[in-house]
This record gives sequence, structure tokens and C-alpha cells, in this order.
Amino acid sequence: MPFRYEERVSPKGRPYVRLHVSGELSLADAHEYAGHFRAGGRYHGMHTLSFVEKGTEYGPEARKIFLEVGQSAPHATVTSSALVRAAINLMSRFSPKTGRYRMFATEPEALAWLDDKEA
Amino acid sequence: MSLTVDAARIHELLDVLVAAAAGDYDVRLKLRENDDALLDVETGVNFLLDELIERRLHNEAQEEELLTRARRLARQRDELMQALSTPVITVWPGVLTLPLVGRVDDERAAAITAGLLARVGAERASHVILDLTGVGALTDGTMPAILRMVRAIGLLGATCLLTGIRPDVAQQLIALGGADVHVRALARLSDALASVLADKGLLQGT
Repeated sequence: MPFRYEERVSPKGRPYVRLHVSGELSLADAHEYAGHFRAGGRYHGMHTLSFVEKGTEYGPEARKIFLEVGQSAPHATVTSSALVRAAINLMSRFSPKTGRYRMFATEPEALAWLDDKEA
Repeated sequence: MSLTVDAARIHELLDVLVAAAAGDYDVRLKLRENDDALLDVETGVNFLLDELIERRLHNEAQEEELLTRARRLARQRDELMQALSTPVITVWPGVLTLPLVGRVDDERAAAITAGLLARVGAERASHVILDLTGVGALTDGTMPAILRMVRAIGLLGATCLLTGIRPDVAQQLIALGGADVHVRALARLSDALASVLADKGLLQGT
């Protein structure tokens, strides 16, 4: 499974979703993600910290779904891959800038940013 | 912002752009973990190619759908034309009338003849009145086709009558040897019907 979800609590006591992402993301995977984060989904409106592994690929159909879902709450992504960063950067350009999404190189800085962001 | 990049990446980028411009959207840049701004551009080119392929597939599907619809409409039109071009009417038991309208070419004449002969057989018709009042442009094949129709009706044992022959059509008939075909010609459809009914002894006073 390309997605692994965990519910955690931040150092400041804020509940958040820790999401681990890897592999090739297909349309079905994107729909699964959307089901969790769209209105009515289990993680809708929750802060999210995602870790996207090197080699993760966003399929063309999947990309459109991710763009539609948008961000209902602050979302920080940690990745060490320049390729993943470029792909996400590009997708982000199609979404309206809400200030709710940022990429980081390390978990502590991502978590600190997330903890300071109001929903 | 200044950027120093390997010339090979620029060459590859140009090669892919040229291939795409020539309609080959299957080409892709080989992306490597280069943490620079050119990687964003390279990724963007690959995304764009993905999008172009998707649009092309979508267009092809739409084109196929339009073609299917056009074929269905053409078939319906042909069926309608077929029905309209052979309006064989039973005006009396055993008496059929076919008002020919518009242009009659070989193909249409063949379709009309087939439909008409089937009706003659099915209804054991004794008379067929071909009304040519509405025949428009006469192509080279029109009159021979009508004469073949007349002969075929005769072979089934029915008598053929022609009505509504215009002067120019009459001249063509003569030129084509139509005078040798045993066919009665009358001015109007009503005259032909009266004649047939008189032959059958159904019209008093004639």
C-alpha cells in the first residue's frame, strides 16, 4: 500500500495524521487518499505530516485527484528526494496558495511548523 | 538566479521537445536526483507530455464516438431514404401504385425494383402503375432503369402502366427503345386507375 496512516499527538498536544507515502501512486490510490481527506473523511480538517520516500511517483490521473482534494488543514511534507520535491512543487503551482502547505527536509522543522499552524 | 547545468541535460531536454513537437508524446526525460531549478522544468515537461497523451486519447475517443454517431445517422438516413423511395401503395386489391419522386439512379432503381417486385409477388398483383410525375433530374441511367423495372414486372405476370410522362421523358423513352416495351401510358394516375378498374370490369360506364 502506498499510504500508511498513523494518528499521533504533537509536542504541543495537537492531534495530527502522520502519513507515510511510497511507490507509484495510481488513480485508485489517489481516490483512497481523497476519501480520507475530503469533507466527511476521517482525516478531514486534521493537521498532516507526510513523509514521501525517494522513488515515489505520482501518476498523471492520480495528480489530478490530489489537486482536487486540496488542503483542509495545514500539511507539512518531509522528503529527501529532489525528484519528489519537483513533482510536488509543480502540482502545488496548480493549487491556490493558502499557506497551508509546505515542504521540509527534516521531521523536526516540519513538526515545529505544523505545531504552530492554526487549522 | 544563476544555474550551472550539464550540457547533456539541455540536449536531452531539447531532443524531447523536438520529438514532442513532431507529435511523439511518448518520449520522456530521464529524471535524476539533481536538486536544482532545471529539475522543476524537466518534471514540468514530463507532466506536460502526460497531459498531452491524455488529451490525445480523449480526443480520439470523442472522434470515435462522433464517427459511430455519424455512421448510425447515415444508416438511419439510408433506411429512411429506402422507405421513402419505395412508397408502394395498394390502391385496389391486386393493383399497386409507385409514385417515383426525385432522381432515380442505378442504385436507387435497383432498390426500388427489388422492393416493388417483392410486393408484386406477395400481393399477387395484376397491375402496377408507375407514376413518373415527380421524377426530377434524369440521369443517363434513369430511363433504362425504369424500363428494366417494367420488364421485370411483366415477367411476374403483372401489367405495368406508366403515368405522368413529361414530353422530354417521352423522347428519352423512344430513344432508348421504350416504344418496343409493351406498356400502356396515360396522362394521369387517376386515368390509369380508371383503366385498370375498367379492365377488371369494376368500373361501370366504361
